Amino acid sequence: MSTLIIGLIVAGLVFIAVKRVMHDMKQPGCSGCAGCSMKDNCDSKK
Amino acid sequence: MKIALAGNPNSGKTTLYNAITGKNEYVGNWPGVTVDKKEADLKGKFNPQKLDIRVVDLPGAYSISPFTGEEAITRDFVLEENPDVIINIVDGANVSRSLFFTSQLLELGIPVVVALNKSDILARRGDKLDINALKKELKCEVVSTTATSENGLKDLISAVIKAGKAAKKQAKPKFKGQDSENSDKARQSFIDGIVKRCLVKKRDATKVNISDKIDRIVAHKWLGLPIFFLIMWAVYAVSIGGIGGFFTEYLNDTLFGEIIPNAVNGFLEGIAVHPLLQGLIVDGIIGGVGAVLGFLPQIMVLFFCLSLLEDCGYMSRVAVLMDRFFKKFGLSGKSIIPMIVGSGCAIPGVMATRTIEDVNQRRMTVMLTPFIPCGAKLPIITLFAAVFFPDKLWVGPVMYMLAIAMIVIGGMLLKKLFVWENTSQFIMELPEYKVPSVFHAIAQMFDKAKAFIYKATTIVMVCNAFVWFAQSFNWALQPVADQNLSVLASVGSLIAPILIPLGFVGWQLAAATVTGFVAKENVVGTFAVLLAVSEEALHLPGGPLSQLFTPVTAFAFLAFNLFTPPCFAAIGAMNSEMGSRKWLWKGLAFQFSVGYLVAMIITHVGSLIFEGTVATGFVPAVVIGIVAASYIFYKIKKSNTERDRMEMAA
Repeated sequence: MSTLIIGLIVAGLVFIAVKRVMHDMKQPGCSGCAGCSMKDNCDSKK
Repeated sequence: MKIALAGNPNSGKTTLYNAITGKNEYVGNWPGVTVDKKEADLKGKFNPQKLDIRVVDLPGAYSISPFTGEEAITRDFVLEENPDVIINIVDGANVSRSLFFTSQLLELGIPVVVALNKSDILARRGDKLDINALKKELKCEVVSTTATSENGLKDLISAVIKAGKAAKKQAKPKFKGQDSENSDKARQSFIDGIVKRCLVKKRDATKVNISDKIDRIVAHKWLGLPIFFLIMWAVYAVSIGGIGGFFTEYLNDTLFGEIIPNAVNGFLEGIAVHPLLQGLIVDGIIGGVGAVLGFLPQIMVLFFCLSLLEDCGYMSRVAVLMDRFFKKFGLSGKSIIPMIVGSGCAIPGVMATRTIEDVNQRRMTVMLTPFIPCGAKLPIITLFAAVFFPDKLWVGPVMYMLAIAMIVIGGMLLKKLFVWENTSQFIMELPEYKVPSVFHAIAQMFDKAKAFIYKATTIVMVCNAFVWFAQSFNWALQPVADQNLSVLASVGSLIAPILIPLGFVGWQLAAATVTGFVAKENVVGTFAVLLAVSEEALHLPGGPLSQLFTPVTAFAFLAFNLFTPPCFAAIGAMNSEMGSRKWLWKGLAFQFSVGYLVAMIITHVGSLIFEGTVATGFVPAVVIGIVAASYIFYKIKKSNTERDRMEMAA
């Protein structure tokens, strides 16, 4: 049971991270690196 | 209401934009930092009536007729988007030059409010500008401001709101020769007249001031480079070995090395979680992400120091210093700006090439900018320096020097390999030295820290979870006790032969190289997961990493990561700035070849000199070396013939 709960939490975290990565990759010129002049369009702010 | 901020480069537009919108966009003490327009709402503090006001920060422009890509963005916006008011930021330190653009903006008919910025510099010089006289001459509102200290900004915004509400057509300036062929000359004479009537200069511009005296030393043709090297060494000593190193040691050895893994292990064992899931959490996610996050203090201190150097005006001098070398192989001195910006992240660095007018120089700069060690490559440099060159602070600065050397050599090669035309000259306005703002440096430092944490918790975490999974299971999805039977080992083994001529033996190195192409920080995380050791052991001199490398091959691996193509996101930026898919592929092939050949040379020459032995892969390396040399010779000959043919045709 504990394995299932912890597994679901980890899967959720990895899923969110994958979703953000996929979203970032669709925006050329932005990988959440900051320091650039496109920060308003950057997903790291959303 | 839409307000556009327009003015010359380095007049303080983005500083003013940040102050009136509450944003924290990147500002730098040199021209050409902003290369794209940005929009935000006016901050409540300046907007008591809660009006709907949008502020647009535009890239700097010297004239309404654009020379560069980012100047075209400004021109297109003011001509096509019809802003309600234009705030024209006039550089108080360069009034005459700034007013040329002002006079063109006034001709558009859109209400203009002039912000006479950097009024503190004007006051410090003892110069006096008669603002009332200037208002009459320009027939528009003029407000004295200092964007860095927010002086005069309330008056500026109320003048702008008033002008926007009145919506009166801006009176156009009239001067002799306005419609003639020499209108630019006539315009400058008109501006000179205004400046003569309004500005009282106390300082004799022909006299040598402190700024000039400092420049005679730091921008000296022989002393300049050693001084730059010394400064970079000092920056590294403070960030990598000093305060940054102290906190990184704590994070690596104690927090991510003991406290967190022990606590999580204890908790997971206590609730009887399956050992495989425990492995994923502790070795995969915490191990991989922790290995990258451990470098956060060093990154923060490094960018704090670089920000101080940039803000005080030193980095602009580095640009001038480099121009001597750059122009010899057909690059513009302007190319140094993207490279300095690229020391933070290659993406804005590549985007900053937009300021280069000549398309060939721009493409060359796009190819060479990712050679500079960016923030993502620093953890790799620091890890390898700690394991293979303990207590030696030269590794970081040497990487910068190697990068500069390869930019020069790479530039020479590019010029010979392809047929280019070189046209423009480098003119850079040097800002006056000033005491750098600690507040600004802290803001930049936290900005970089935020971005670093963001990457560590997204792309690095995903990659490390994948790497852990691939090294723990075989193709039948059964857990494996021996890593050599895993999915990752079989995939890595396919790529590993390509790396043998470089002296890199083992599928683990191939796996780290591949994840490094996704994001460079992944190299460190991948080694942490693959070697399945605590942070402390990973960073130990002579630790498990030394099973995979000798000091010579470790240095070669650093060079390989430095020069081979950057991460995917930076390749995306290269694609958009190159303006051609063909040139993107040429650029990637060039970068991969440089990284491969440099690493190969370091491994084999270094092994012979320092270890007195022949490194693994010597024979294939010799074959590749001969093939590469022949290809370069053939390509140069072909390009020379093409150049001769073009000359004959001309």
